[in-house]
Amino acid sequence: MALMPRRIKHRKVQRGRIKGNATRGNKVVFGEYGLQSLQAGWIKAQTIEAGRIAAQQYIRGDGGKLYVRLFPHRSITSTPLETRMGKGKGEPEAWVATVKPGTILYELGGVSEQQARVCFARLAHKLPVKVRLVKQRPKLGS
Amino acid sequence: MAELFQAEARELTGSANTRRLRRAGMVPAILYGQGKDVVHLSIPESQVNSAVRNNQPYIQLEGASTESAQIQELQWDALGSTVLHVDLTRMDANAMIEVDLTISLTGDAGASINQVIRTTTAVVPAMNIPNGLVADISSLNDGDSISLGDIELPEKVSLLSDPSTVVVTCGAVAAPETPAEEATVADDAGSNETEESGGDE
Repeated sequence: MALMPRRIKHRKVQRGRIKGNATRGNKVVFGEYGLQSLQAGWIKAQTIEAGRIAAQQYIRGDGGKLYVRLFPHRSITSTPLETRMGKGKGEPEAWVATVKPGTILYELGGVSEQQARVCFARLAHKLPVKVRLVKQRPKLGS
Repeated sequence: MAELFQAEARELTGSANTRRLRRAGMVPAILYGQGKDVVHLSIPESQVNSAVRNNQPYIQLEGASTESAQIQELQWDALGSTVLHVDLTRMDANAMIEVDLTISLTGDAGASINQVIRTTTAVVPAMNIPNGLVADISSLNDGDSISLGDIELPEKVSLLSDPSTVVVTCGAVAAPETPAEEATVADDAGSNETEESGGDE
């Protein structure tokens, strides 16, 4: 079962706009390597899960650990096909995570850089945004 | 060794001027501390990147300012790929700091070896942090060991840990179970079998 919130305050939310860069969740903190988004967008819960499985299958047996840094907090709605206009907002259809440029999507620890590159390349094929590999920033200053 | 920064004095401040500086391959920086005047500097981007890559917070300035300094804060761009600004605090050139040094082994021992500890805390000169400590295991034979006190230390480096702490042992293998324990285990297994067989009947 794909990820979704256990309890929410409002079932339907307005679309809004994704503006600016990520100011939170933009550092690699758990592993040594991270997959950073370079675009803004919505990533569906099924996509997050597909990416997790693709990465997990690659690092299985190598002792590496995968961290999923995003969660689908937001619902998206759609009206059914062949429905006349009006009659209010559609029903929630999927859950998505909002991603901004700079957001770290996944992290890997306990693997070599080469392994991390291959693993993230397999994972990146599943994602609807451009991504790149980043390393953990050295703890120099703040 | 501490990283060397070729600093230039920066008289024009403000966002437009610093943006021009960055376009020219320099990183704006500021130097403060020890009750002295604040100095605006610019440093070549390659040297800042080198310090970041080598994880070297202690630097030696040359050019507009010839002081020892520590990187206090780095400002990064939104994607975390470029350093936008560097905060430097003045520090004493002879300051001593505590760091964790890795212990690496060199040479071939006469038997199998077991490295017990891989890092140790040491007091080192801030401007001359060694890459690590090296323990020579070529003279080790079966049953020998090397402790922290046996490792040759670089100049002005002192250890905080107990010198008698064992770093490497040679030929030591895990002790097998004592015959008494084995007997107990065998007895337990035997009694279990008896009970099970009794239950089946």
